[in-house]
Amino acid sequence: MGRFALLRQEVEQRPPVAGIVASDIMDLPENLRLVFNKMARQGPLTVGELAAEFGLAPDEARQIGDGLVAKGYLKTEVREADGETLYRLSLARTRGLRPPPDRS
Amino acid sequence: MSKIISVHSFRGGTGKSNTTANLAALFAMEGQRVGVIDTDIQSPGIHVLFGLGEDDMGRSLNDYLWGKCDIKETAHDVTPRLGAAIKGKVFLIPSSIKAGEIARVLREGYDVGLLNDGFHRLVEDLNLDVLMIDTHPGLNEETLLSIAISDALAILLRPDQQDYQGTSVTVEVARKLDVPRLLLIVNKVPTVFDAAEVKARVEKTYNCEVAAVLPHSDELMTLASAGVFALRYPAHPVTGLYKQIAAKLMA
Repeated sequence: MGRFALLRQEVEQRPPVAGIVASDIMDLPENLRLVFNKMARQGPLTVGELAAEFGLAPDEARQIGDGLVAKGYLKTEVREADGETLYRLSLARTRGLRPPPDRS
Repeated sequence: MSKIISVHSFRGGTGKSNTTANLAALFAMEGQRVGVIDTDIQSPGIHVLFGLGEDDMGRSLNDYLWGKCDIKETAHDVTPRLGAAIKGKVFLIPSSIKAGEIARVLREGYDVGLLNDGFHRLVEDLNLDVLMIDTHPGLNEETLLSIAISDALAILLRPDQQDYQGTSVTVEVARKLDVPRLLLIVNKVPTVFDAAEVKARVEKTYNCEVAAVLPHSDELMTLASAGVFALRYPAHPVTGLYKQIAAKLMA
C-alpha cells in the first residue's frame, strides 16, 4: 500500500473528535504522531510543509489535512501575509472533574 | 532562537519548582530574558521562590485561561525581587493561589488551545530567550502538552523506587512526543551515595543522559524556598551543578 493510501486509511480509521488533547497525540499511529509532534512544537504548517513532512505530493497532503480537519484533529487558518492556508492542531478543552464525554 | 524548557517529574516533592527557579535565575544572570510559567494550576508554588505574595499578584494564568486578559498581562517582572546583579530579566506567570479559582479550573477545565497559544505568545510578546514551564507532577493533559511543545525536558527524580518506576513512564512518554532534548536530574541524593555511580546507573537504566546528580543540601533545605538558592549561595557546589544543568539544557 502506498504512503498516501496508508495515511488516508489511518485518517479514515480515526474516530471524530471535538479537538484533541496531548494524550491523543500519543495514541496516533506513528506517521500521524510525528507530524502532530512537529505541529505542537513548531506551530501550524502550510500545505507544502505538510507534504514534506508526510512525504506526499501537495494535493495528497491537502487531502490528508482536510480529512483530519473533518475529523476534528486539525483546523485551518489563512495566513494574513500571503493568504496561505495553514493547518494547525485543534486542541480541545480539558475535561475538569466531570466524567469525560462519551466519544462513541 | 527561543527555547521552551519544561521541568517535570512523575512524583511530587522532587524539587521541580526550586530547580526551575534556579535555572531561570542562572539564565537571567547570563543576560537572557526568561519567562517562568507555573502550570501547576492545582498546587501553584513557584511564586514563593520569587517573593511574590498573594497581595503582589495581579493577573494570573487562571485569568488568561478564562479570557479575562491577554497572557502578557499575567507576566510579573520579578527581576528586582531577586536581589542580585542580573543582566537579563525574569518574568513570572503565576497560577492563582486562591482556593476558589483553583477549584474552578478543576471543576470546569479550560481551553488547552488557549494555554498552548499562551506559551507561544509569551515568547513573542516578551521577546523571551527562554520560557521555562514548571509543571504539575505526574502525567495529565497540561504536563503532556508542556512536554509536547518543549524543545528540552528536564525530568527530576529522587533515588527512590517510586520515582524510578514513574520516571520510566515519563521517559517513554517524552520519547513518544519526540522531545528534542531530554535530560534527567537526580535530586536530593543522600551524601553517602557515590554520585558517579548514581549517574552511571540511572543513565544505563533509562538510556538517557543525566545532567547532574544533586546531593541533599542542608543549606537548600534550610532556605526552604524562601529564595533562589543559586543567588543566595553563588559559590556552593550545588549552584555549580545547577550551572551544569543550565549549560546542558541550552546545548
